[in-house]
Amino acid sequence: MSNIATVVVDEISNDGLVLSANLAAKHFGIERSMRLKAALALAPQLQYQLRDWQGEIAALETMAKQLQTISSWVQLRPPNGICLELQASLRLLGGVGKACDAIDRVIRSYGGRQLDHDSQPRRVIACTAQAAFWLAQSGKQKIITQQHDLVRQLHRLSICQLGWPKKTITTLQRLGVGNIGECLRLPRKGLVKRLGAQVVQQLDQALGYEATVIDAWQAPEYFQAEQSLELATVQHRYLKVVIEHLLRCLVTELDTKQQAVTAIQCHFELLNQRQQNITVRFSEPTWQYDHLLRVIDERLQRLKLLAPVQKCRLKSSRWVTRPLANRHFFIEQDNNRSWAQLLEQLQSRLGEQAVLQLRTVADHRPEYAYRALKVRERASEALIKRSRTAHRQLCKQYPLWLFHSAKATEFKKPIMHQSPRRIEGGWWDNNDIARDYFHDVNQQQHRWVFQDRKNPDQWYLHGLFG
Amino acid sequence: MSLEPIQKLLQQSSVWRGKTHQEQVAWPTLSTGFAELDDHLPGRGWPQASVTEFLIDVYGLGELQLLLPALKKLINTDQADIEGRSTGPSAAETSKIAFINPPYWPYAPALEAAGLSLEQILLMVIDRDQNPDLSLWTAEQLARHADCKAVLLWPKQLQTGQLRRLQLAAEAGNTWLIVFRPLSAQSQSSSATLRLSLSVNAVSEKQLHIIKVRGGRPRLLATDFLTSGFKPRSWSRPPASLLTSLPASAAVNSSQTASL
Repeated sequence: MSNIATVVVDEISNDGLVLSANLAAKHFGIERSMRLKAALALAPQLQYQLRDWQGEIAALETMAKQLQTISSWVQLRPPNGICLELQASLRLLGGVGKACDAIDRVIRSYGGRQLDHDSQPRRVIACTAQAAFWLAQSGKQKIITQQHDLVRQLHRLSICQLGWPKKTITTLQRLGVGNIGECLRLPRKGLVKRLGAQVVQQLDQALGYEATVIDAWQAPEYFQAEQSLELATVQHRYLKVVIEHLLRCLVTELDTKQQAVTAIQCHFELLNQRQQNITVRFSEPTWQYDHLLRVIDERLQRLKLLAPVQKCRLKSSRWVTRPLANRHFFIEQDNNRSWAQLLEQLQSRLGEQAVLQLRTVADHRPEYAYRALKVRERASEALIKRSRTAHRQLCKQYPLWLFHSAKATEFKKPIMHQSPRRIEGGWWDNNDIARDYFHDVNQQQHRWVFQDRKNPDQWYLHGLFG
Repeated sequence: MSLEPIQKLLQQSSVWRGKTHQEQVAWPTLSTGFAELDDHLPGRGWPQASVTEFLIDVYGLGELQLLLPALKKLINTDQADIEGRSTGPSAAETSKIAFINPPYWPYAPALEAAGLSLEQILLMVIDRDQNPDLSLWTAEQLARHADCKAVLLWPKQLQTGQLRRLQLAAEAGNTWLIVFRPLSAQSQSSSATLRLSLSVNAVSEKQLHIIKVRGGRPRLLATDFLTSGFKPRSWSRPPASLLTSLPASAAVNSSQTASL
């Protein structure tokens, strides 16, 4: 347990709220829902971290996976809730008490850090899922098995702890309603009209008057299979046979479940305890055997194996549902590959730096006015902007071919086809230019030349009017 | 005796009809955007789903501007389905043009100002130190794909058999494949549907020489197409490659001088 005062905040700013504080922070008097600047005033050496949403969801899923050993019906209620259907498992577990022990064991085995009271996981067993969730949110830890007991507990529950929108809570407080019991005394039609049908539905579900449907959560599936080779080899054709077999297993499983993958990894274990692998990521969910084989084959041909391969393992990413596509009755689609798949194949064969897309940048200097980006590369939005219409009018006078870098030429004066243009700029990144651009015609060849104002004797050729 | 079989035979473009070239041809064509050039091409436009060979040594003569109107039409056309309504993501958004190993950078602001959408342009820069046939393989893959409507290729070297293979790929994928080669390749035989060359003649006039076109006859056009359109020219001395292929009646009119 560290002695450094640490808190978790919901945003890094003076107005950020403290969500959780460790014991060392509590010694300084820092509590939940305190503003960060107040906490820093109490403890200047306080360390604070931003809330990690991804980590929280991952932790929730891990716990849900472990709870699936107790019940097969598990529902996630992010950010911090899990709902279990226990009735069907009570007989197996041997009663409610034993079920609670099993759940507590799972909770304790996961995380084992000393948490403050607010952060302790709470377990509530009740007759309905909604009621159990509300009671757990309000900080209680109870076991309720009788309906009248549930009704009594719910009546005492404050409306502020139910997770209802602020507007609803304010409306109820103005009516003088403080807990669910008082809420239930109000006429039903009026409640529906003022607060909406959803609130009333939740109350019905909590009290058991309306059934709740729980969607069972399924852990995401993966694929992993391996095959050892009888004779360690570096020959690609033997490796290809093994990989074909593993890919067939993967595709068969994907077909049965109608799922797709977004990345696959081929892992080779070599003779001298070393390892090599090929990782392929796809821009869209893929399940076609031909495409998977083609892409892996291209990569395999470019891979230099350091030693003979003993074992080959194929792993896939998390499975995702196959995107559905409508097919036409009469129009035949003879090309099964999508454009994205073709680009992936080209990238894997030629390298990512060979497949490029052009983008314009709002910059007057010609050599900086464009970018050639790799196809799936995302440029920062600040860098690439759409050229405005006025700029586009100017660009109509630009040549269609630009040299990679301006070439010094040996002529004295251009034959001017159009009036010259002066381009200056670039002081902000130390690449200041001051050039006069001319459209020169020489032997019918239209050239874009410029004269550097800092060095007027030298002419440069920068582009051709294709 | 009915004339129908003969009419049908004459309508097929495999029968050469001498002076005139046909307006209706059996292969798809795309208007060049220049009415005077359309007059000189069978089908009134660039032949599609095939290879067009462009022989050029000196760039900057307006070679891209010659192709630009047709390319714009290719990627901006909204192809409706058989019912006349366009479906889903329109075909226009998925049409692509690929540049493979161009000699210089296609300048993005100028392309955008000319009306081409940059999202639909793919640029392939293949290292020439690698296998030189990789650019041909890339062109074949792109040509076979339905989404790619035009491929502009600058190969390092191209043999007759490889060109034939590209022609088959273009036909299979319904793609317009334009291959840029140096003028010295004119002496090599080629199975391209259309062979053009763009150069400057001895009197500093730009000329577009239609060396070979399926269903038509060779032509020499003097052109400053941005300003004055295309004017047919005869030549005082036919190029050597044509001497063996033309019949004797197409001999030169000796009264015309070289100064045109």
